[in-house]
Amino acid sequence: MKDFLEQLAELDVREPPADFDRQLHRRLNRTLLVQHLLDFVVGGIAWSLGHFLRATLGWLLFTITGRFPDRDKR
Amino acid sequence: MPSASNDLANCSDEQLAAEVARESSDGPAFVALVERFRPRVWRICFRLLNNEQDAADAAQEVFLRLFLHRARFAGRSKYATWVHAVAVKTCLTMRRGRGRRLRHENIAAEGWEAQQPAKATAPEGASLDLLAMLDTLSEEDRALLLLKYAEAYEYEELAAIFEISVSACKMRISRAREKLQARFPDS
Repeated sequence: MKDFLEQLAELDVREPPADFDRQLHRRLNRTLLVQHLLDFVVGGIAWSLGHFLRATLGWLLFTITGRFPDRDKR
Repeated sequence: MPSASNDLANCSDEQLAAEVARESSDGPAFVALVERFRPRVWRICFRLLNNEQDAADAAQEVFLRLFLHRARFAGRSKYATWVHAVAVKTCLTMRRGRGRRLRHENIAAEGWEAQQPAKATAPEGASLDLLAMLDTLSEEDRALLLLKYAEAYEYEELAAIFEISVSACKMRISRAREKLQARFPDS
């Protein structure tokens, strides 16, 4: 059995493809682009939600109380 | 005065990893890291996947993970060991995925009942090629034997890569050999 397993070392390992680095670079850039876009979208959604929620809250307060929030107190 | 690329080529793996962690994109340190580890990572991927296209895909995935998780290296082992462990895990995940996919395709084509006996017994005739014999083992046992005998890894390195003790590593390799002997007594 020892001989059989040692034959594994004789099996050929081919060379990596010639354009391996280029493909890796392209794949890495694509991944980073997607990641940055995702960060931007998630950040943008959070900001928009905060922004519009504040407006909605103001509108609700005005509807219920009939008064605008006092801007000087903020 | 030595250039920056010369400096990177001469620094240790750990220093290079620290440089990569400082970079915000794939700059010169990462290029040097790929250059340094490409042959070893490629050999691991090719040995474990035995297919040029899959090996290229896996090796790229390894470097992608090394880049995305570049700040995670804690220095508990040698950086080279960490890289090899990432390569082995990536290949094992790919092989499991490929196995699952093939199994699903086979089930759809022939039905599950027809598949069971083929998996449980050794393929007919013990004169199969080496890799087909290794395919009868579990993924981890197969990887252990390939790295030990095809790539001449030491038990200590294998233990660190597979996150087991050295004695457990020796035991698993010995048991995997016994399984092969039992399944292919003529080899």
